[in-house]
Amino acid sequence: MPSATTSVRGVLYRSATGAPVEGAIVMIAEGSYEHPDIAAQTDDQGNFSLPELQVPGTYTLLINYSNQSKRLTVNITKDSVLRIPL
Amino acid sequence: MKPKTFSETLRSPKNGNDKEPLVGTAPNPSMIENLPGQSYMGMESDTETEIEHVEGFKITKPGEADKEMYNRLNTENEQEFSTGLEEAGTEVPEEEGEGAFTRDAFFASYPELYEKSLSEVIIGTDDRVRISPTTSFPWRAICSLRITAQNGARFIGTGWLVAPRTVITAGHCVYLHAQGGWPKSIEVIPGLNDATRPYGSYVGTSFRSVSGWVNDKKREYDYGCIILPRTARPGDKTGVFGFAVKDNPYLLNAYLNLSGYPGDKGGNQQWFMARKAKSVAPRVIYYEIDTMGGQSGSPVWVKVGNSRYAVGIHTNGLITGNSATRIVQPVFNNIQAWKNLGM
Repeated sequence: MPSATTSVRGVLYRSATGAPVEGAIVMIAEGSYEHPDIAAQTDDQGNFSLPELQVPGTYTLLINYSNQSKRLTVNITKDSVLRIPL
Repeated sequence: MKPKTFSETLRSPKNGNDKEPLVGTAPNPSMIENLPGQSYMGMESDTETEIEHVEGFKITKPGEADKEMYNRLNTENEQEFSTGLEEAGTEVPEEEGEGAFTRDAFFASYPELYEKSLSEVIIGTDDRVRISPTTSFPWRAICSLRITAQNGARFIGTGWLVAPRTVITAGHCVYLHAQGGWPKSIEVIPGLNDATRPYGSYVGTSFRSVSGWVNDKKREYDYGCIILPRTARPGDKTGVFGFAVKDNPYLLNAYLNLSGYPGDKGGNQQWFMARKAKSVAPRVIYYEIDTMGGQSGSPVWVKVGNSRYAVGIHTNGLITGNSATRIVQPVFNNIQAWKNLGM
């Protein structure tokens, strides 16, 4: 059962260079619990904040960037910070 | 979504929706938007207690959850308003060169102009249909939102015009609790279609929501609006949505239309889908209409003849059913008041 809600922060970066990925759209595709259908967009440092989610829980993120997409499932807790290579 | 694979199981009531039971199916007065390639047929407490005064903690008194909250008043004229169960929208004439036919009829003749695709990231069938061009009603009254939160975080969402300067959306698009509350600004782009902005774009900094969302973060009060500056009147060009309060049997038998700007499509394209409601709760409508992040705030509407009435504001996703904040009388009253602010 979820015990709290939290807005998870994260950063997207190029796996090859470590450079931040700006302008990517990050959203929840599926999750353990109901979630706001708003999407986050990364800033020039690759930073993003997901909407408030019920945690702990398992969520599938969908990342849309440069006409590509990546899908990954993550376990999110109250203190999670996501570092995602693309 | 996801364009999610839905089960037939009714959702467990939550967030106050257990006060009345979910109602699951019923006679059919509305029409679906005429889009080819889609088939939807079949388818106060009695005890005297006090609350400790704690900085930052507020509790909403009974009956105050729909009390209006706002960040500023500098762009509006406060006006008296009347209430009713149905508020008509308006369609403005097509712009010169766009043709006299309606979009619905046009695409009935040219279905191949609809881009219907399957995303590689979607499991199962994605029933959404792309809207392009977006220059006819009601599509042009639907807006892409570019949200810059108070802490600088950026989000995308959707909204819809009910007045020349009033854009209705989800409460979590105009008040983001974890991001500093009211946003710094929201760019509103009616009818965005890839790089084309047929009606320009406008930056709003005046927002409205209600106590039930701002103070209590309750899902069933997740609605709000953007009041654009006096010089920004996109609704004069696009026409505006009507909105209405409908009862359970009506909602359960109506085709619900939903169109917005999903992030999995890049956030610059408008995508549409329609289906009957799965269930209704006192303040929430559940449906199996495919949605994705970025569609928060999308209109959920019924089409009756040539009139379109929003009956909900899309807010949440869940594998067993996406959902909208239902337009009930208090929500209707606030939307009407906000409409008057944007006239």
